[in-house]
Amino acid sequence: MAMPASDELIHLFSYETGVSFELPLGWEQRHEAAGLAEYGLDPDDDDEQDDDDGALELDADARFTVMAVGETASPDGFLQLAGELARAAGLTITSERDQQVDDADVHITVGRALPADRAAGGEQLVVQAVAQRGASLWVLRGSAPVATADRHRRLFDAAIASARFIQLDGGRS
Amino acid sequence: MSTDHQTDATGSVSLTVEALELSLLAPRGWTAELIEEGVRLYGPADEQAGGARPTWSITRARPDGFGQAWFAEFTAGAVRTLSASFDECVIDGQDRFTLSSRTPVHVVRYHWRAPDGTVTHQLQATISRSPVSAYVVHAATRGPRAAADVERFDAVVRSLRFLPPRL
Repeated sequence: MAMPASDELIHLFSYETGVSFELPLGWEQRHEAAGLAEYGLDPDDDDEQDDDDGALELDADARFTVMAVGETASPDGFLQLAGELARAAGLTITSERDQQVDDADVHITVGRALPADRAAGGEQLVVQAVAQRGASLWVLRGSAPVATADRHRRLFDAAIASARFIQLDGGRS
Repeated sequence: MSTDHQTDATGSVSLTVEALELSLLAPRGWTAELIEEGVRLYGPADEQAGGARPTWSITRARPDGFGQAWFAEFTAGAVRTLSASFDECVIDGQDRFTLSSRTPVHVVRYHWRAPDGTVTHQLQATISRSPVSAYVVHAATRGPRAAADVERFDAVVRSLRFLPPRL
């Protein structure tokens, strides 16, 4: 599945995280708390999904989570946090890379892990991005069933590349 | 008014104006200035155009309508007004698309010739966000870099994202 054209994307933003990014139409904010916003597919919107019911169920398990995780005194704080999070999640890493997104240093780790809640299903693709601009740190984390790994990998990569880290007056970030 | 701007590796700079509830990507090296209910971007001076600088601005306004039919009628009227405003005005193209903030945009590219022969290339975009909020973009350039500038103007429009009102 190629990433949709801009007309088929939706902009998502939470003042709790200060992170603006894009996902395909059908994704929406499912949960918000201090410093955190979680996104998933609207269960009532099947326009952008595959026709068969199995794919629909698998897509419904996909999540994209954004967190504003505070500040670091180290210029390499994002690398340290990326390693800690990968270990804590029991991530079997398949690839890692660094890239610049909105003038932030971003370390992206791709791998597979079992969900913390084993009842939530089997092994998942995890795309984890830890971003640092100045002292501020953010985590963007996509997860999806491994059966849909190829298309969700492209989708999560594009969402991370589209991120803008917005630091607002009175905002958390 | 709170603004935040950052650069990225692609040669663009993100700029957010919380008071206007918008975020955009401006070309690297351009400067930004807050104006009443808006923001204006300036490109570098072009000596081959008499030192003129390309400008791109967006302002927020309260619309007198909302919805597909109103937007179609309003933008058609805006094009008629443009054509009537200059003796030698040529409409170079129009586009209608939807931003990722799910707001419809109508873009008009045109140029006109002043009595002294100077040709100015412009872009006008109308964005309908809600029954109480619309945005208008005006951009202008002249000289040998005009074609590239108009492409940049269009890219800035397409980069626009609108923030939800802060509760």
